[in-house]
Amino acid sequence: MSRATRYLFVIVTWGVLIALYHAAFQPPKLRTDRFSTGWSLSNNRPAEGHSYSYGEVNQTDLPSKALEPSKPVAHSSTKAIQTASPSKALTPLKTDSRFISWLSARVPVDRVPFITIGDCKYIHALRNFRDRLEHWGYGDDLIVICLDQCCVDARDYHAYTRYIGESVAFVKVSLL
Amino acid sequence: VFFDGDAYLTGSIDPFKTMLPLSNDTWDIQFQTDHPEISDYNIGWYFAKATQRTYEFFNRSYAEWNITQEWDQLVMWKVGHVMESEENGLRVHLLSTSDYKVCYSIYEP
Repeated sequence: MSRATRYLFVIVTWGVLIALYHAAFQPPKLRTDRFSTGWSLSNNRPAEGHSYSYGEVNQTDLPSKALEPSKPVAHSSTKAIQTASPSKALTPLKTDSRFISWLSARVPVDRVPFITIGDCKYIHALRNFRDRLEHWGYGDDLIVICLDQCCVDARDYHAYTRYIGESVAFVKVSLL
Repeated sequence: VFFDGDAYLTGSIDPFKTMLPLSNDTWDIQFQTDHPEISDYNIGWYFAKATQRTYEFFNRSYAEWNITQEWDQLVMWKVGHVMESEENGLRVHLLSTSDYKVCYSIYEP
């Protein structure tokens, strides 16, 4: 092997090692790492623009004032939804339904909650859903009836824990 | 609004944009539909108003499901159709399939 070939071999080897080093220590960039409120560490970027305009639709078909998103949506940088505790600003409704009482302490009554059922397998889908809701100012209105602890621990939405271990069908017909 | 965990927002329009608003007094519940020609319900996305009719609808669905243990979506469709035909019955609005798509309608030609 000639000296030039050996130099070339050393240079190529170093190049490969440096590339491997960068690949190995590069943190994964998830869709939800970009401009969500609940799970990003530091992000002050504004929402990327959407083209929605109220001028496009008949005003009579618009949701009520209470449903109108605050546009553009301001994304707080570090706030995570506190799933375990209610909002201090909200007083729970007095009702026979534990779920409604719990819900009213987290989502104001003049907002429409987005409710779903989830477990470990749906965490990424739920984060993605929340991310989309953020575009319209509905991110804090996401409620997940969790079927396992992993779902509760995700902390990116309001998690209802009373149905852990139940089936989806049971929750759908009995709670909702 | 209730939705299944496999529902997906494209982000192109506000999810309320093409649903009837709460201020509209012509509906109790709005469903996505798989087959508009037979007005079936897809309970993977619906917007329920807090009315006596919807309260009764969910109660009757629960009672029926306890008896039959059939597919929850089928149970709610059957109960809903009965209630729709009753006097002063459930007022259902089916959502546009062009805005609220089910997966097979996306992939079907």
